[in-house]
Amino acid sequence: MQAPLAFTGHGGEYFRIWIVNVVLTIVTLGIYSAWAKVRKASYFARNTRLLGDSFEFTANPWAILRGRLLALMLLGFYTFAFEFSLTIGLVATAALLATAPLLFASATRFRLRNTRWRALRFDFTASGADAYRTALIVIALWISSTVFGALGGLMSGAIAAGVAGLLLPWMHHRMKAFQHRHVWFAGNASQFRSALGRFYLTYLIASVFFFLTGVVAAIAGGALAVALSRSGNARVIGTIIGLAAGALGYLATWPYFASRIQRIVWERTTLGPFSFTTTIAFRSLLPIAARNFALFVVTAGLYWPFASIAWARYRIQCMSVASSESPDEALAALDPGASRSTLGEGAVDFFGIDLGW
Amino acid sequence: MLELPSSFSGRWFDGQSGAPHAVRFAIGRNELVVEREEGGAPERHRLADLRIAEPLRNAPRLFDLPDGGVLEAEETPELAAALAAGGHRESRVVGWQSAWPASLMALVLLVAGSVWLYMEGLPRIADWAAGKVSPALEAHMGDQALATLDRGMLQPSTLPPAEQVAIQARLAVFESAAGIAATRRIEFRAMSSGPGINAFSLPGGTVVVLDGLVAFAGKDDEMLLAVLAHEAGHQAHHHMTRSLFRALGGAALAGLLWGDYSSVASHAAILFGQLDYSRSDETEADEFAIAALRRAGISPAALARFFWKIGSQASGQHDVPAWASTHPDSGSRAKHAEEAADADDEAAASAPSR
Repeated sequence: MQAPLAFTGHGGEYFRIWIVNVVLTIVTLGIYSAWAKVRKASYFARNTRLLGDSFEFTANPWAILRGRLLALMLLGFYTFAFEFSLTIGLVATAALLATAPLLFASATRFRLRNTRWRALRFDFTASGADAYRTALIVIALWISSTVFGALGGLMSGAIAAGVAGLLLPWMHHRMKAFQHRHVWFAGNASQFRSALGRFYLTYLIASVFFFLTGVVAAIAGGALAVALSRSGNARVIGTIIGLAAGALGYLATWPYFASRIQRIVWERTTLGPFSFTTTIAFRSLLPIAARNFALFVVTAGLYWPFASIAWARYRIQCMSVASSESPDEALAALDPGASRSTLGEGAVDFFGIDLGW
Repeated sequence: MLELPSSFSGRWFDGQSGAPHAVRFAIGRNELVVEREEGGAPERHRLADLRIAEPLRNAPRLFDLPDGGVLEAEETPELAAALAAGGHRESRVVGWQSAWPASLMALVLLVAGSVWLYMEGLPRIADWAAGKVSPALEAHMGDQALATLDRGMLQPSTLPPAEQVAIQARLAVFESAAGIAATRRIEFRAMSSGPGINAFSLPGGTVVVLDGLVAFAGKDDEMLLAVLAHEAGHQAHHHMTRSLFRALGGAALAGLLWGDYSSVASHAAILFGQLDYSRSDETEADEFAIAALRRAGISPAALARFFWKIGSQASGQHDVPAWASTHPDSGSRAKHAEEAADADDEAAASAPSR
């Protein structure tokens, strides 16, 4: 039996929250971004309901601010370190490698511990060691092109980037599995069945799809450019059409990719007696993505809050929680009891970090 | 039932299990009274002890109770009024967010603020920050950049050492005649691919001269000096270090404005923003070169000749619209330098008759 998720967010209301967030963030030189994050995440959580009861995001903005400053320092150091010297660059890379898995796990834990439903908190149970085992290889691959590029020139950097590219689905799957295997809610631990083959298939189809839409658009653009070449601006027109073709390809491919991955991941995730179903489909997502993109461009970004509401409404309302008995009764019967002490407000660990903007 | 004026229905969760409990509750002066529908004595809490979620149009109001429980109630105007009457004050941000005129004012502020930051604020902050960078660090950054370029884009120069020395000597004479700071270091290189009719500045006083430029100038020594004077302008204004800081600030601003939606959108904004800064840097360096040439007794026409000649050679460059280019259109730069030269000629012609 299934219980669907409902989303009640409203574009106009969220627009006002968003614009005040942006203005206060700029006026305070970024400090307010932590409070903005809490208001934004609360808005989406509280407008998401399961069986009539809303989720809630209860993070302390000061903890978010501290985490952001730390992440900003690390990333700034890494981004510019190779500009100064090879040694400093390598030291920065080592520092990033050493802390990133911990930061990633810490960010996930922070988000989940601060999410509640019916006064019950979620948690993330991966230890620091789990995080290192999972993420170190992924991060090493991710930054290998930068390191090889700096050490051995463009060629070895390009080869490293190629290898990392082929392993991208594997890395993505590894991180998703890590996240979906360590969620804890009211006495139930989450599980995730591997879907590496499905990930590779999705990436493959998405690449072919991207290539084909790009080729079609480029041929059409090229023909148009030749037809207009008498005006003498053929090169500019060709360049603009080429860029537009790329954007079009991305626009058509992204909804396919996002809907497939969401479906694959959630259909293989369980939380105790509960499983998840989603009806998300490329067919329905494409018009939403196209409209969001077009209106975002036309309004120079002002449509963004409406776009996020439209996207969240579709994505969330596609989801249902399923269980063999009625989810209503199964959820009411949840009783973490003594299996894990209820986490208080102050139980957030030092790295109380939030990396998502 | 509750003796308080008006009561509301809600759901109460104990924080221990997922079971909902139907309750009635009422709000008095700084007081919340909760009564379970299944019976039991009413619980009383001081409003000040509760964490009360901010009001949202379609989401329930949540009250965190001191014992770890949560009271959930649908948002209604009556509930908001009862909370206000009970002494609960919402944050000022909530008032701002809930009113259209105030939040549209925020939008106006945002647009005006972003434009000001981009036009005035960021360049000023970048100039200030560039002034704080020690010369040693700037020079070090330049050396690192050159080392990176040498690993791929650039090759050793094929110019005879004697000619390199001669160019350096002519530049030194010009610099002292023009009264400008001596270029710290000249590096001769060739482009790995393409003609490379160019010279460019690195942070900290290094100017790289490409073989293509020397060949392009040919016997026109003054043209080469005019281009080097332009590079000296970049050095005098610390354009390279400033552009690094402006890129940082621009990335932060664009990330705030558009990064939420997509990093591609914010990168495109950064790119076009940098191009505008870059064009104004080029214009500033042109002005510097024209002034330096005049002081050294060389006509700014030397700079104009370079732009005319490069403009006629690189036919493709004409097709790039101004807003998409790192440099201003070479035709208009040539005209500007030419106007300066003409003004000098007129001044010279009118001088004897004065």
